[in-house]
Order: sequence, then structure tokens, then C-alpha cells
Amino acid sequence: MSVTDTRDIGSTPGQAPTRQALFALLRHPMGMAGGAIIACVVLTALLAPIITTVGPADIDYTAILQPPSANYIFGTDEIGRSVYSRTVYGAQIALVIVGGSVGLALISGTLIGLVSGYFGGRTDTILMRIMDAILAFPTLVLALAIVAILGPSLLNALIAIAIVSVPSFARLARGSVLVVRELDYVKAARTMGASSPRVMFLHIAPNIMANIIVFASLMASAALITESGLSFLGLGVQPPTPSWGYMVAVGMNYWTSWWMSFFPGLAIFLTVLGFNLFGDALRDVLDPRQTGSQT
Amino acid sequence: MRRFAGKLTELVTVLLISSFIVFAIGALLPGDPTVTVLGENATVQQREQLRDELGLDDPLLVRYIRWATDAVRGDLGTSLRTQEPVATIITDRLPVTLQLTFMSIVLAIVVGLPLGVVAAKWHGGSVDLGISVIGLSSLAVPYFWLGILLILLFSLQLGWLPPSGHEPFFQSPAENLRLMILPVITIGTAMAALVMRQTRTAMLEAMSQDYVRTARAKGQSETGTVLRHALRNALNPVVTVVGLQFGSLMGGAVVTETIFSIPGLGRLVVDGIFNRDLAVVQGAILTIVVCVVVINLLTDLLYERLDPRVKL
Repeated sequence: MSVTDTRDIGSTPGQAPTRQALFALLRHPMGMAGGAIIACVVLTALLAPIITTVGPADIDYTAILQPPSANYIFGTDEIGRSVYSRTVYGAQIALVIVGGSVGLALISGTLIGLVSGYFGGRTDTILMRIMDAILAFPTLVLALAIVAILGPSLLNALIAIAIVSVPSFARLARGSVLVVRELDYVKAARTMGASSPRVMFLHIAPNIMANIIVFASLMASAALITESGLSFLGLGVQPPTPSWGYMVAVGMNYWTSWWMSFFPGLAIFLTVLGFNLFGDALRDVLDPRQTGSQT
Repeated sequence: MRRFAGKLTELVTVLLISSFIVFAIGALLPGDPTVTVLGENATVQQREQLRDELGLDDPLLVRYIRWATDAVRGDLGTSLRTQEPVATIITDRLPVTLQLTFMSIVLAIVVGLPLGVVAAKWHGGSVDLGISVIGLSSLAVPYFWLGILLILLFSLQLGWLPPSGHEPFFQSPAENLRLMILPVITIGTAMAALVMRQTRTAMLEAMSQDYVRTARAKGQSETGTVLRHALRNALNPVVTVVGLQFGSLMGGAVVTETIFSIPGLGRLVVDGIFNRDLAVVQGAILTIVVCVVVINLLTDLLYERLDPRVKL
């Protein structure tokens, strides 16, 4: 009972700022623009069968490498598939990989950061040196190597992107834990005999989640860039599944048919922009110290 | 000094762990190295003899120690495909990638720094908004898409610049630079945006400090105040962002070199992976990682030099 009380004290003052932050976000023009873009991409992915007339794999031999027209608004590719339809369905793949990899990285990175920051000492040193070692690799290079080992597929690309994103989450979580660990309510919980896992998951974790979620929205854009880089190099999602990066790469072999790489590339650009705008706005809203200089 | 020693120990530990990861990547890549060397038709005996020669059946840790000690001596093995020493291949490729990355950094600073100062000086106005929007967009453009758009516009549409290829700098400097323009813009744009944002934030912070107010009060001209007092103090975070982004520049080099057919380290990794040339993949990635780690350390040291208040 007494431990529950401590938790209440920790969370009650947190409620109002959360709501405030939500309202502040609604008034943040850049954040709203970012949110609108993300909403559009999600809707496109969900409504793909409704907003397209032909499937992403449907081949029209009478319309090969056609420029954008009334029939095919984004034109057609080298075997007569609709670039529009493939770009629309590509949103599903992009969101699955981004959501999956960022989610996976968030959970494992936060766990590592919690353990590292909470226990400190040798555990901390070892875990953090491993994270530093992974961070020394350029993201795309390491992701490339992991996919080459596991074999190119949607799931393996997702895993590779998750692995390269883990250290960033772990470092952030660890840093936040170091601050929260010293707060009075955590000390009180420990004094009252709460076990380490209980303190870590019930007392510390809820208090560092806001930071981590903000960071996740920024990592989403990095994940999409890495995914499209992998697909571009031919090591991401395998054809015929429509992936934006791969479509851009194929378009490179047909220079005169600019629409083949232009539209999927534009989709990557807009989605990344959306995640960046939204993430920046979240950070502005949740971190008052930064707000003054950012806007 | 003691802290510097601590930093160095940290660096060595990180290098040990990451070199093990690099080695493991090579060891775990699927495919039989004996097939790469001997082809499909070799006999079992021939294969076993080669496995024996290459020490492929030894425990992983033994192989790692052997590989790492050789690597420290500058021996990275031989390419399974071309039989060339990997170290020689890397010595050929590394300068190309370094030229590409350093030119991109120069571009990023030359473009990003003044834009950041301007945005901070007139912050909140339409100039600031314009610069910020361009910056945000530049950060969201994937390298490969920007590269392709640049080729479409400047090579195929306008015909001003060659679409791809490479000339060694010392053979024909002019041609080398001409071929480098588009790749450098491809990698440098996002970096310029980062430098711009960092400069803007740091300048805004610096301009609200007391010493800037003092400089103004003493009758220092506005330009003098901005450049001599605010900018000088705003440079530190900019140096850090440039140094810490070196790794992502190397990552950018992988796709950019592929698009523009530049024989650099990034393309070496990609080709090595597709050719299952283990020693080449290991050597190239190890070189990239060592570069990143060393540049990060230099960034820390430079940071201390620029700001005497910071002690490592």
C-alpha cells in the first residue's frame, strides 16, 4: 500500500503537464504539419486497396514505361506496373518496417539503459562500451552487414534496423535513469524495500518514457532512411513486394523514365519530413528549456 | 592528463569490441570461401587443404586473435577474388572516400555556418523561416534520391556535369573536381542543414549571454558583436556536430559511391558483400570504424581546445 502511495505522488503532478503538452502540440504549426503528413501516410497504407484501381503487382503489357497520364497518374514501370499503386502499397511496407524496428529497438534499448543506469558500476561500463562499439559503425554499413548475414527479407531488414538503433535508445534511457534514480520518490521506494525490478519498472521507467517516446519519433525517420538505403542497394524487402528504396534503384536503370524513381523517392522524403517535424515539435513541447531557442 | 588516459582506454576498449564485431561479420557471412577461391568443381580434398591453409576450422576466438594481430601489423589478408592484399586495395580506395567526405564537410560549413548566423540574427522573421524550411527539407532527403535528382537535372537535362565516374586527383585535378561536384552536394546537403541548425541554436543561446550585452554596451558594432563574440562561442557545438556526423557521412558514402560509380571504401563494402569476399568486407568495415572512432576522439580534443572551460 505504502509503495503504491509513493507511485501516486510520482505520477499525479505528471498528469497535468501531459495534457498541457498535448494542447501545446496542437498549437505547434510545424508539429501539426508533421502529424498531418504521418496521418496521410498511415491512411494511404490502410486504404491502399480502396484508393488504387490496379494492384501493385498487376502488369499491363500495353503500357510499359508510360509517362504520367490520366490512366496512370505516376506513370508505369519497366514491366507495365502502376507506379502510383506501387508507391501507395509501399507505404504499408515502410510503416511495418519502421514501426517494427523502432518498437523492437525501443523495448530492448530501454531495458539495457534501465539496467545499465540503475545498477551502474561494472554492468554499466560493460553494457555502455558494447553500445559505443556498435555506435562506431555507420548505421547503414552495419545494417547492410547484418542483412547480408541473415539473408535479405522484410523481417531481417526489420531486425537489422532494430539492432543498429538499440544503442541510441540505451544511451538515452541510461542518461534519464541516472537523473531519475536520484529523485526522492525513488529513494523512498528503495528505502521501503521495493525490489530492484519493481523500482526500475514501476518507479523509474514511467518517468523516463516521455523522453524515449519523443526520441522514437525522431528515430522513425532514421529507420526509414536506413530501410530505403538497404532496399536501394538490393538488400531490403525483396521484389516483387513494392519498397520505395528498391523502386528508386530500379528507376536508375531507366533514366529517361524519371517518374519511376521520382515518386517513390518523394514518398520517402515526405514521410521522413513528417516524422522529423513531429519529433521536433514533441521535443519543443515537452522540453521547456529548449523551446525558447527552437522557436 | 589522467582523464585523457581514461579516454584512451575507453577508445581501445571500443576498438577491441567493434573489431570483434567486424571479424564476426566476416566469419558469419554465408557462403563457402573455398567456393569463392576454387570455384564449384574443386574436389573435397582440395577444399579441405584450403580450409586448413586459411585456418577456417579453428575456433572463432583463435581466428579473431590471429586476424586482429595481423591487422595491427597492417596485414588485412588477401582478397579471395582478386588475390590482391586487402591493405593495398584499401590504400587505393580510402583517399577517394576521404576526399569525398572532407569536401562535403567543407561544403556543409561554407553553406551552413553563414545561413545559421543569418537565421539567428533575424530570428523569427521570414528569412529565418525560409532558411529553417530549407534546412528541414534537406535533412529529410535520402542521399540516393538527391543524387538521382541531381543527375537528372545537371547531367541529363542541362548537360553541365558528367553523371558518374571518377578520375584520380593527381592525374587530372580539374576532371576529378568536376566529377566530385554532384557527389559532394549529395552528401553535403544534409550535413549543411545540420550545421545550419546547430549554428542557429548556438548563436541564439550565445546572443542572450551577458558578454554579448556587454560588447553591445561598450559600443561594439553589431556585426562585430555577432561575429567576434557570439559566433566564436557558438562554434563549439558546431565542431561537435561535424565531428560526430562523420560516421553518417561514411554511411552516405556507401550509397553515393554506388550511384556515381566512385571507387571508394563504401562501394568496396557493398561489392565485397555481394561477392562474398570476406577479407575485403572485414578490412573495409574495420577501416571505416577506426576512422570514425579516431575522428570522435579528435572532436573531443578539439572541443577542449576551443573552450578552455571544458576539461576532458
